[in-house]
Amino acid sequence: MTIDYIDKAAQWFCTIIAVLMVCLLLSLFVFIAKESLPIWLTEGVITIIAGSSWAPLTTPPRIGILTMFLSTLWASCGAMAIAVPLGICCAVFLSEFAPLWASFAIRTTLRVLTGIPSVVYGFLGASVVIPWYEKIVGLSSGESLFCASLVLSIMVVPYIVAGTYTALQAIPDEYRETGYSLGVSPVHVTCRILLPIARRNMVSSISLAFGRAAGETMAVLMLAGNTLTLPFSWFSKGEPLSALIALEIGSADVGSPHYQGIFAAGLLLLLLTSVISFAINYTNIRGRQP
Amino acid sequence: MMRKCLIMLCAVLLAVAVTGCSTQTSKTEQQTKDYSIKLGGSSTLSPVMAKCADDFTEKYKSWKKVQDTFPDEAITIFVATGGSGFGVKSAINSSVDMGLVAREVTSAEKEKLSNHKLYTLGYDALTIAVHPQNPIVKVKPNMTTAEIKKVFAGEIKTWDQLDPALPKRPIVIAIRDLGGGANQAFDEAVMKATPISQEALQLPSMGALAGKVQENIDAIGYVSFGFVNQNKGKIATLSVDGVEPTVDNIVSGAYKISRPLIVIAKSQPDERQQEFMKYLLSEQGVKTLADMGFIPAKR
Amino acid sequence: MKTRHYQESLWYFTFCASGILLAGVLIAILGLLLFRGSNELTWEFLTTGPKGLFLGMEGGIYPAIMGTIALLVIATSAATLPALATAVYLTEYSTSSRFSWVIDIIIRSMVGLPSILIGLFGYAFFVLYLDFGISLISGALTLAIMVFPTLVILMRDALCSVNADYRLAGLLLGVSRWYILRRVVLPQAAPSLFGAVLLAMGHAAGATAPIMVTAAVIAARAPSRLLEPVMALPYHLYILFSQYVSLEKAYATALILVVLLLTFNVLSVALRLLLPGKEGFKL
Repeated sequence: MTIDYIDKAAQWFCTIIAVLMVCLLLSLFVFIAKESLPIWLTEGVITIIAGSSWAPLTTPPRIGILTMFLSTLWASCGAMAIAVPLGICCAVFLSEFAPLWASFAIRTTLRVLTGIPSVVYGFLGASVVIPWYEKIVGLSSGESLFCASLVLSIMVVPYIVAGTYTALQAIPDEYRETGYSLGVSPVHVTCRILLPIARRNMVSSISLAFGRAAGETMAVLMLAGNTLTLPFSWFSKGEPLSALIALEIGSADVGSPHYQGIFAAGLLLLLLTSVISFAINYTNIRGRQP
Repeated sequence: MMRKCLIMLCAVLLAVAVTGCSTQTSKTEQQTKDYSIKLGGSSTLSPVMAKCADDFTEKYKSWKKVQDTFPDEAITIFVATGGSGFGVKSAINSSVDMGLVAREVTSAEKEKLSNHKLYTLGYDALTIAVHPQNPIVKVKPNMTTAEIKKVFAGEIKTWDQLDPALPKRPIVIAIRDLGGGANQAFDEAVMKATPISQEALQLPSMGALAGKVQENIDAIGYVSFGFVNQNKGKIATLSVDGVEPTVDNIVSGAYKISRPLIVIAKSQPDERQQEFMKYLLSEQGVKTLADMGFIPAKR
Repeated sequence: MKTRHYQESLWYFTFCASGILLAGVLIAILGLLLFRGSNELTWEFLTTGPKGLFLGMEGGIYPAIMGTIALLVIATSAATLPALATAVYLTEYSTSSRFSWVIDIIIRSMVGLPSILIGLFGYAFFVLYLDFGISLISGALTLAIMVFPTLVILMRDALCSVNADYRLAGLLLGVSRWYILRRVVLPQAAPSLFGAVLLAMGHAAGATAPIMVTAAVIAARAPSRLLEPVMALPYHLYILFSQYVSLEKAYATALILVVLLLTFNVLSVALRLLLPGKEGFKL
């Protein structure tokens, strides 16, 4: 009889902890929304998001985070534009064409790449990539959203490769065998048959990668240039939302418009990453349930 | 096979526990009052403070040696960076014991600092600095305040617009971000409320600004005088309105772009903080400040 | 037919090239760090604090190493038990599928949360609201929140991968779920669970943004008290580099950080491979 009680107790314990933890995570949203609420109300949502002028210490303070929002989009979408093709091609190689030892070696390599912290990527990017970029293109100042995208893409490519590889491996061999026995070449089988089947799982790993790229702080802090102009091209300098928060939170007076503006930027970043992530997970899990 | 798992598990657990224990035991040693001193603020001043803290700790090691009445406890001083804005803010909400500021403290801030005392340790100047190989050093080593204002405001975008003998390359402006003390000092002395160009690179610390000017041949920025001295030969400075940034000119006030180096301490600091403050104001503290290229205040 | 053939060769070549390119990038990164950082790796570097006229130019990074270790030990200790409980809930005890589905999806969505936002929350909550100040405990708890979702997912995968037959057999014999959990599932999943903890430690060790605003300072002693600020390896690297203090020491610091994280990763993989019947490429 005692075992039953322990079982019940364990069940309650686990349930309560799970609920508490989820509440803690949700309170993150609530906290950031709450701290930024005053500025959303005084300045208005449109003025803040579409405003290109960030001068929170003047009177009246001008809180416009369009520059930062666009910088985040350029940096992360740019990173995805590089990483997605590269990642999918690499995963296809590892899954379908590479000899077993090479596949294992490269997969281990990629796992190791995920273990390198972002500050090291930022450091190497700033000390190696930017001088090369300056030399090759002949610019006086190489910090740009493009360089940030380059380094970000290397950071997120392992996630895409992992997700695509797993998805491809999960497809039963019958598909491949049928294709080969009909005389279809391996490349054709992969591109036309396997990849479309794997699409759903690929999409979830791509969304994870996008979330990482958009939220990345240290790498873009050292690479994007931190200017306040609107970034009209991939090659201009900018200041992504995460860099803005990291740089200015230390010196903002608690409760001032500056502080609330930073939390507003945080809320925007939060919505950007979590809405996309949530939407993808929802459609994924929804699709899996019969 | 389970045994192998268990052994490996135990090994890693042991390693973790050992490192954990070492922090635990020292934690239980000092469960009494917290005698540490926390400093934080300006990125120009915090390296100086860090060096002073290190020297002070090396010299005395234990508070008892500083003054016999103190208990025999290791001296612990923490130094954070984050800009003058952070220094003022942290002094106001007491998250640091001493705030480091490299600009004038505004009257609005002074109101909030009613139970604090401001000590001016010395002075620093903001030099208009360029890369030593920038041709402007030879061609036009002097700039007027109006020209500097135009360059930083973005009206003059390329070097040849400044002077036809210079190459047609874009000017890369390096500034401190909003929380930096240099920002305010520069604004008061040169820009006078004209906004700085939006294309300027905002750097997170004075050290980063100094580094930017050192590595980029087209860069121009307002580098702290102390940092120029710390990197002799790697940064070239221009004179402003005919006045060169030298110690004499800064002290006499002829060089106009200068700012005080201030430490905000509590008006009733505890004895340990008083001792450290005394050290900062003493000969050794002054010497460290001078060694790092700043100008100590006259006593 | 010929063009189709060329097209396919091109695709084939692209696939191969991308694989080799990525492998090359990693080798280049590690090689560069080793090449430029190994000169500075002396015993003095690892065991003394920063020195020099500009602190950090000479001397070592001992306080930063101890600070990082303290942060990650406390962070993982704080996060492991709740994560295990949540993972157990999601795999064993969830009765209402809708409710647990909600919890599951919330945790999955939190995995990719930007670390600076967690740092922001930690700053506003632990540093300001709870008045812990810039301290070890603020930083460690912030890191714990950061690694919690990842830990839950990895632990859940570990628990799920235990053969379902064991559970069925146990239930058929009339044994409670807790008993099966304690005697069968947890011991079987233990290497994977431990691997998950190590991976989380790795994440926590490398995270800069959260500790930048909640715990890290540029000069501190080795941590000995929860309410003290600490130095940390990633933050120290950032300062060494961005303030142009010393490029060589920055490389050495980066090397140590990477070696530390790689050790965690390798150990975690080794543990997970020990579980019977485990295959596949899991991050």
